[in-house]
Amino acid sequence: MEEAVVADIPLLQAKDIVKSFPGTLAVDEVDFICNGGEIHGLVGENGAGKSTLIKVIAGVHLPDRGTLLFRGEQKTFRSYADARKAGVGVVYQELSLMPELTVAENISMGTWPKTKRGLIDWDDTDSRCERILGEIGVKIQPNVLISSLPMAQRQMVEIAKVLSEDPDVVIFDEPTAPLSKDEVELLFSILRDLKNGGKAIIFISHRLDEVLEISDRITVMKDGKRVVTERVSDFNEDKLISSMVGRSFSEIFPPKPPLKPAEVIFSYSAVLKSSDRKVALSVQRGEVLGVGGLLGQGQMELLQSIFGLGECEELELEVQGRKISSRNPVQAMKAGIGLIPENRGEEGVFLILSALENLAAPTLNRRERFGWIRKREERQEVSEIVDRLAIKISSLNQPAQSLSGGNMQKLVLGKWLIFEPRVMVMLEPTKGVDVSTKQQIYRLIRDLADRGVAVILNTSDMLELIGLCDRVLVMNHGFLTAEIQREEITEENIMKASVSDVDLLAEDAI
Amino acid sequence: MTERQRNLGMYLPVYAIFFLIYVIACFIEPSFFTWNNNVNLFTRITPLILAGIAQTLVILTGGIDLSIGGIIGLTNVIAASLPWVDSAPNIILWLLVPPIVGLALGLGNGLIIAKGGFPPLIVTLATGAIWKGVSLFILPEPGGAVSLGVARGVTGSIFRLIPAPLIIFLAFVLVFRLILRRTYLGRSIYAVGGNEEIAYESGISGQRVKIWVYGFSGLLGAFAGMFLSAWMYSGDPLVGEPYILNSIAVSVIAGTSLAGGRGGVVGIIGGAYIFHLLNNILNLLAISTFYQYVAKGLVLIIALAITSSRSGVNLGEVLKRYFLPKRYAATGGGR
Repeated sequence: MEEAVVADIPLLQAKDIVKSFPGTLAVDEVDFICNGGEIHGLVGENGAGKSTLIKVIAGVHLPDRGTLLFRGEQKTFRSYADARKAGVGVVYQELSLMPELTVAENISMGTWPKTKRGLIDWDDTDSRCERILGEIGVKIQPNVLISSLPMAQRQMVEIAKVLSEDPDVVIFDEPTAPLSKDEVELLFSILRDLKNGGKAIIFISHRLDEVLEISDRITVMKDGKRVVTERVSDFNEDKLISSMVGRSFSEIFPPKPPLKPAEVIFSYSAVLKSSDRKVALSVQRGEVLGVGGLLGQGQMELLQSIFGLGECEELELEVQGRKISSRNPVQAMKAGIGLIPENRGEEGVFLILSALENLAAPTLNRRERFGWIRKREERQEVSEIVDRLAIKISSLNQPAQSLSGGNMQKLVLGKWLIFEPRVMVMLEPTKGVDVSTKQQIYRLIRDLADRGVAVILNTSDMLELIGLCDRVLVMNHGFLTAEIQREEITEENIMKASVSDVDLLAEDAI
Repeated sequence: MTERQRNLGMYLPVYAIFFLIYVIACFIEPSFFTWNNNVNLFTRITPLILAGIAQTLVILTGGIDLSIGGIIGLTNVIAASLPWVDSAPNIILWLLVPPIVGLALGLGNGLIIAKGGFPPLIVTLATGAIWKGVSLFILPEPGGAVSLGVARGVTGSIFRLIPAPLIIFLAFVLVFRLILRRTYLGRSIYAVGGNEEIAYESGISGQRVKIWVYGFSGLLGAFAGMFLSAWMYSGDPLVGEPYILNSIAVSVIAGTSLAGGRGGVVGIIGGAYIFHLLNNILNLLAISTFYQYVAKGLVLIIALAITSSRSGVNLGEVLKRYFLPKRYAATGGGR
């Protein structure tokens, strides 16, 4: 049967697509075919050209050369509106919803049904919204404001919005990033329904296990070129990674050094607002402590409160035996605590400021005398970090917004490396970053620990907890439910601690 | 791109337009290019430059100061209402009182905005109205007096050669350029305007920066008010009104983004010149006031389009963006 599908005229065919931007050849003679009834995984590092290829298909970019064929018919898209009319829908990573409008208003944005008098027919809008959400099996009230929904549900609304136009080709650009495991399953069942409905689906994700699970075929891109397109049965995770970067999977994490004699340099206890329960932890010199668990169990609240962000009560902190107070970042930084916020890339850097201004921000007051900044010293310290992290910039004055996502993340890391913290808190430091940048970040984290820094790391990536951390704490409904020592850090143990106690807690509640 | 090139790209359009308008003015009226007229121009643009610097500082943090007119008016009235005119104590008071008042009023704005978390637009609109009322209470009609020595010192020439206003505005622009580029406060201003949340997470207190920025704005407003009092030998409670919107226009023409975080003070001289030369030319051409408003508005929009475009200097890009069919424009940018 699969043979028959392939033999047909493909629903979407891109031929010899070339697209360049000043200074870079983003897509270089790429052929790409996606059939009706197929889920086509598209993987590659950041900057491999996936996004540009997608934007060419969606009419955002006009290709320099090459042709797009829909059902064998040549098309030229001058805008996303053109592509939408022809039946292309894109679910972007950054959601395009209006937070202060309701679900129904968002889903029927721009296509509101009208009454005879020319006013918007709200009843019809709501019922249409309910129908579309029902079709994809999501239970969300149509009259709820987007801003009151959690990220995962917003994602579902976004998908519903795209599907409401009944596109033939649906592109999912990193749709699973904000989703938990259950929600990913729901998304996948939606994808399978769409596929069975004969639609062509392009699925982009950095989570390779998901790509392997859901795709029928996978195309790997690297440096703007298509490396390989194969049936999913011909791939496994190792092969995918090696075709993306040319390295094997086991080389990704740096080796964990042997355990050193215990010396606690940081301890914390506080009553978290969400759970109203006391939480305590301590970290040793040179230790990488992972805080894991399912998404949204209070990890963010806990880690941010260390840095004086957010609210919690009875906060008690000790750094190297000295009690400190940390009611705001300035106080936390005085005690030698640094924080890499979850906002990565574009949300984590001063976009319109230069690389130098970004990197120097947390340490400004160290290089000032009577308010004046010692510029030479600043330049020197900043250049050292730029070299050490291999940040690709043409000059220190290059604005951050012209950098790639990976390099932006390096700016965020770099500014805290210059700060030389005693305690480094990191929230999802590798979210949405490509494999080779991830590797560099892992090495940096281990390097920090080796220099005696206490690293506290929150990540939703199971592999990072296992491969990178010396000790893992698992959070569940605002409690720390498990402490897993180095040898016992396995996927099973973490999952057990993340999930099993939920039932217990639920029973407690009854 | 080096820092120098980047700045050049930012300031080139302003000064190119300024030069163009200046040359046009010289062609229309040959007497324009005389020393006297130029000295006169230096004097006229100085208060606008001072107000422009004040506004730029505030706008760089993402705020706006609509009370600048009220502050200029009030300090102007105070400067012209001091006792013992034409004696040393008067001059000392003239030098001390208005700046202290201006700084205090500005810091008041900053405290309300930063500590209260209220929108600067409304806060400064309100405080500006209050101070305008106070000015009218102190001096209901234009009048008062300043010491002759002050007036001569501020608007005269140094060594009968260099006009004092030229020195004044050059010094202010230079000092504030240094403050913005070289000091902790300056860097913090760009950081807070660039992204207040990230600044906070980097240990830079947006509150403190804002309080100081409004304080500086008040101080600069006071200097403008003092200058106006010395120039006019008297005070006028409503003298500050035109500076509210003109200072904003000059800041933006000088390349400062209303969203904050981008811009500077170096273009302000050019911006202020563009403003005044336009008036001058239209007057020289004896164009009716009604048309003058229209012409001024149009030229300002064009100046704005050129100077505040993201790429800065690239006029070709601007023309392409506005005059070529959309599909060519749509392919620019992105990754």
